[in-house]
Amino acid sequence: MTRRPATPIHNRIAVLRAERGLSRQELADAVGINYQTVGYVERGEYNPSLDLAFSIAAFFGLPIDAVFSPDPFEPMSVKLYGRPAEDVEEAATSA
Amino acid sequence: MTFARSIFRFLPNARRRSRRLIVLGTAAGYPLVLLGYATLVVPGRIQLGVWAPIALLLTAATVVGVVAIYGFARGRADLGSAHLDERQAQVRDRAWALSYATVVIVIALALVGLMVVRSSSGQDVVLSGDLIGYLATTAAIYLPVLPAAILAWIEPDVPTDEGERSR
Repeated sequence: MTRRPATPIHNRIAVLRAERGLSRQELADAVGINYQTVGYVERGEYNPSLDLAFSIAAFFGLPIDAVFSPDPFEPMSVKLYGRPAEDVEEAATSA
Repeated sequence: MTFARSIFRFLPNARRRSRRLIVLGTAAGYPLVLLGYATLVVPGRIQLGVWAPIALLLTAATVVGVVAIYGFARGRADLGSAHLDERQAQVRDRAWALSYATVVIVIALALVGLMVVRSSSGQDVVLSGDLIGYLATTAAIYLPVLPAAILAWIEPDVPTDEGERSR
């Protein structure tokens, strides 16, 4: 009976919380929602309203597309250091 | 007192499997009392003295279940609740919509059941004072708790987080 959204919105909330050492409760208090809702948003089980998405992005001081995206985010390590060598070789072989 | 306090703390975070078992026990309890009385005691298959403790247990299951469901929902199924966030309000509205659907299905099944009884036995079903009393009691027990019970049924498990575990 759990209804996952048909088109889940991906987000970086868990990473951003970890970076800032915030608990779900602290983030929830800051944006005026229940801490459980933060968990459901993080797990992609609930798509936040535009209003809530903007509030969360504003709380982290980031543009909304840095926190939420319709496509999966690239891992931060890949962004910083590029893909591991095997992945690059695999990609080259398959191409 | 400590037991009551730990139960009070457990209920809002109860796993969905436990919640669903509670809802099923609550839903089955009182109707089984009526069914058992009608099919076992009235035809004289068992003595009332034998049935009474079983009926008491089943009624207790319903009463305890209703209390547990309210303990889980804690006002989150109330239409006038102002302290809900957008997700909780969405789940509450869905619980109410499903409650309406549940009531419609139960009434439809009851009417079909009556038609089957009437056509198979050839006797008219008489809406006696006793029957109206049983129906009114059942409605009085289940209709108010239905949205909270549906909420307990559909709400997913609470996501765990190191920050919340200690709270």
